[in-house]
Amino acid sequence: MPVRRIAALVGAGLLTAALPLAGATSAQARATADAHVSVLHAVPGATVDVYANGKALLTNFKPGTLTDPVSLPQGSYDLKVTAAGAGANGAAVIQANDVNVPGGANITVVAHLGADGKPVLTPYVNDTSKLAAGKARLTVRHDAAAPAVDIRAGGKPVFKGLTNPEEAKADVPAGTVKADVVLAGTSTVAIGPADVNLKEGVNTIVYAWGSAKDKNLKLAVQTISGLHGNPTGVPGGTGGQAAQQTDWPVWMVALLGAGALVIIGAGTVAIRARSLP
Amino acid sequence: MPSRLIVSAVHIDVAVQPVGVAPDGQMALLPDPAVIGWYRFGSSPGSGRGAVVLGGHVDSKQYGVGPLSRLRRLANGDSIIVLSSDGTRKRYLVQRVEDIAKKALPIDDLFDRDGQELLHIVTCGGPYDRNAGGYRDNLVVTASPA
Repeated sequence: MPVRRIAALVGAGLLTAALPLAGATSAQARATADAHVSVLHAVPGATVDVYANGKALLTNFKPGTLTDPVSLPQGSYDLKVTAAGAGANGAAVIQANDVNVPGGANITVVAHLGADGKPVLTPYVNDTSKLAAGKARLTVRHDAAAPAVDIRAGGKPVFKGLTNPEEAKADVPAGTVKADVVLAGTSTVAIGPADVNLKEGVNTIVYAWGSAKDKNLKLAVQTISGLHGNPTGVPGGTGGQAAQQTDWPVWMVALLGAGALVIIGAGTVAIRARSLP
Repeated sequence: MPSRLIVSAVHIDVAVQPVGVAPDGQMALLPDPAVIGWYRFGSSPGSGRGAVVLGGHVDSKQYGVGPLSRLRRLANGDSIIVLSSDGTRKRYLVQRVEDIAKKALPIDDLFDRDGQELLHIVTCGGPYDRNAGGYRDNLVVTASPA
């Protein structure tokens, strides 16, 4: 039963061990901030319900489903997973108590197959830092029972030798790329190609999941928007003719050019500037 | 996306083309001051929120003085029309015409994507100093939907 393996891993403290990492990235401890937690079900086969402190967090949760972020107050959570429809008091197929969720972090918890095909649970911290204007962030995560892979864009490897459960990321110019996944160092396509629209100001997170042996490798995509930056300024003229043609007297331009602004008196300049039509 | 900017009060009727970010991190502008750039990562006319940002050179060594040099003559309440490629027509009314030192340009307000729906038209203003990198100021026209 795949879910039992997840239970074992959560019980072994993998989740709690990894989550403090999230807290560390949000340098200032935001004492009362909620954590934003998404869950990706990437274990083929089992439909489940998930409970947090006795309340239904996810119901009828199917493989391949990525939840919207759930806002969870920081704190300690008792997580329980049951067979779908078993109810809050149903038999636990996964139980993990006292799971620490730090405030302010943006996390995706992925239940997936390890490289050896055994189910594991990996919490990832999503990079929500601001992007430069015009840039998009691409994050790829290897959550499939498959060997090391390269991720290619337009036929060229951009991330090489990624192994389960590693992730890789880069900030790239916004736009659509034709992406595929190949066995590392080869041109043997494992997944794709697929057109991936990398929107400006968005972290596009692509998960490879499933099993190579069972021939059910797939992609799941998560996006986190609102990370855009702004241009640093606006240029606006390269000739200088407009300045000379219009309202700025040539003598002032000359004085400014000579660095003699202070001699004129700041008051005069200020009044002059405000009186421009 | 915006395709044309018409400001009858100061005889401006120019094509608009999408632009992005220049290698130096500034908003990319088109070389011809008679063609205006629309910051394509920002808001679109009629999107209901954020600022539509149009920008163009006031002049150019190659092309001479452009139509945006006349923006400073705009008065509050003047009408601005932005036509879009889907045939829609959006009318704005001038709220402010300001010379702002480039070093003090409120970038986050200018390019805001989530707040009040506005139109910002940006070009250069102030004195020109070749030795100090060109124009000292940006001229910023702020208009709100009519």
